[in-house]
Amino acid sequence: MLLQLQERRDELSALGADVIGVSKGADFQADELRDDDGVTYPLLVDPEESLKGALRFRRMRPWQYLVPSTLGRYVASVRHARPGKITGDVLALPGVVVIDGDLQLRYRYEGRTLADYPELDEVIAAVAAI
Amino acid sequence: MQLGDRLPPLDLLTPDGEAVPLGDLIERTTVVALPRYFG
Repeated sequence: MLLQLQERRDELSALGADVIGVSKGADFQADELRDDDGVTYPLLVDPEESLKGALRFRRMRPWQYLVPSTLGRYVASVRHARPGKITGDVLALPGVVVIDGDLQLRYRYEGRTLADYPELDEVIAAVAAI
Repeated sequence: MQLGDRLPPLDLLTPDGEAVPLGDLIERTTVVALPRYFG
């Protein structure tokens, strides 16, 4: 999702929208995304996951790792991950939200499992509707 | 939190460790990606 947003950042900008990424993930990973993968929008670290807390995002149950679809997503993510120590929150669920200039929540997608993101076209349509 | 609700004040950190209020980051409509980690 982070790289897809980078690829379509101009399209979002034309609609009057910015993009940011927020994760509990480590600061050095944000630097790698910027330096190695060309992500140019701001990446912010949220060590206490205060934003997800405010959004009332749920956490994954540990047994969900045993569900085949989740296990498959985990294996796929490990294949693409950079070598290094485990960072972030292993039970956190991903998501995408759209917030307007008054800090009002205008779109919300909470993933139900690992790497579960909305279609980017859906996000762009939500932005266009604001 | 429901659609239309307003987010409370909170701070995020730049990779350099500088605290930035969410309200300073979001001056107009913003797509916020929330990955588990920056991998």
